[in-house]
Amino acid sequence: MGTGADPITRLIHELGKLPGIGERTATRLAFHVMRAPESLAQGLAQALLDVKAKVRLCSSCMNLTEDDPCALCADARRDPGLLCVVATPADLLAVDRGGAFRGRYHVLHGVLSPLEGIGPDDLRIGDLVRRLRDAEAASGGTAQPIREVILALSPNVEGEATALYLARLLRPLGPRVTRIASGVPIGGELEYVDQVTIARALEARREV
Amino acid sequence: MVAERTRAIVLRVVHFGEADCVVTLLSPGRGKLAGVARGARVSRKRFAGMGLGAVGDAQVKERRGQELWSLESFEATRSLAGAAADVAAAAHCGYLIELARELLPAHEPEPGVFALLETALAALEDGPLPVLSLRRFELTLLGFLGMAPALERCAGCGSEWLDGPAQRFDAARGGVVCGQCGGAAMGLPLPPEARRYLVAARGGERGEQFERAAIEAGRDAVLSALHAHLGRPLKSLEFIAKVGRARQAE
Repeated sequence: MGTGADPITRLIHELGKLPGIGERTATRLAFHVMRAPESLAQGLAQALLDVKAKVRLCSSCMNLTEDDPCALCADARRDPGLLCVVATPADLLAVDRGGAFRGRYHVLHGVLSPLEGIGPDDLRIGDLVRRLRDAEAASGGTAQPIREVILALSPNVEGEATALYLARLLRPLGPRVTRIASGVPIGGELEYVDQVTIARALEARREV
Repeated sequence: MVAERTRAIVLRVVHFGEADCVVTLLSPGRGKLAGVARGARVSRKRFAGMGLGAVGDAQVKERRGQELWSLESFEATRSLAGAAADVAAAAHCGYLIELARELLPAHEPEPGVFALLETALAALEDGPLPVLSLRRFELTLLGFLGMAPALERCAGCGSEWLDGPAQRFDAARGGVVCGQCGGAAMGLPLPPEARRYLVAARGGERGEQFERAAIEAGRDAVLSALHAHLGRPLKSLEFIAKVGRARQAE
């Protein structure tokens, strides 16, 4: 479709390029924008332009940010010796929301995926290795080395593959490499937990 | 339509909207089918352990006039997540699943393929599959689907006099072709030892040791047959190549 199409058709076409939006939803959204006050269209258009112009990756943790380094990396109260590796910025928010983790993060921007053909070079793994090496090199001075890397990746085949790959890659660099636990959720009832989760929870049991 | 219970293997999970998933399953009695799992991303009770390669009990319901079924629940009884010994095992998991998913037609029951895939996925808990087991899986799968390449007689003339110096493997013609039927421009070279290797792999015979060159020629022949049937490269093979390159660069 060229740019010569009428504005509504163009808007439907552009909206339809977004993930999860088919032609019918794109049409509904386009007509909603048409009916809404002009301020909505201006706000939406400006927000879209701003996100592309201002948001970039933090050069340290690879999270999305307006400032480089991002607020999390610049926060001196966070422990620089603890590094939590997550798959996506949304996962970072989920981990950080609870406030239980007060270290720093590294965002991979995906996980290894055999079925999508996503390999190590498609993720921010090289940046993670560089970060660990730089921290180690700088530890002779005032900086702290990274003592522990926590792999906070989903407990599915892709997340497991990524964790196994990273553990093998990172251990020789010095830090302790750990994986977040998986098992019975807090507040859950054992009778409703599936067999696989129960088996994993039993394997990872701990003394009380 | 009444919901029915079935054993199932998860072949694909695609997020749909904020809470739903479209899940492709392989069932022994229903074959490959895709269904909408409403609330699957938030309900761990109804969709416990539902990830790629998980084997479990599913409750599915056909929706009249709709391509997609409804997946009412799934409970995993076995999952490679957390059990895979290394990245290679996860890569093999992806490969086996992608092969089955792409080769199987929808809604055609293939209990043999279900059993083949279930057994192979279970074996991955001990680590990546030996190459002979991979070839056996590929050849058995092709056999179940009526696509087995000819290995014991020429796919061109039917002659059983194979293992000549000019023998080749021509996926387009359906397998091994003798020196009379093949030409240097057709297919891939298939030395006699490579052909014997493929016959042994198909039969699951582990006794004989084969040269590396024969194993590689056999692999290339099977991959060419798969490519001829699929018409496109497999993502999981791309993944295996990428991991291999990354490890070499370490």
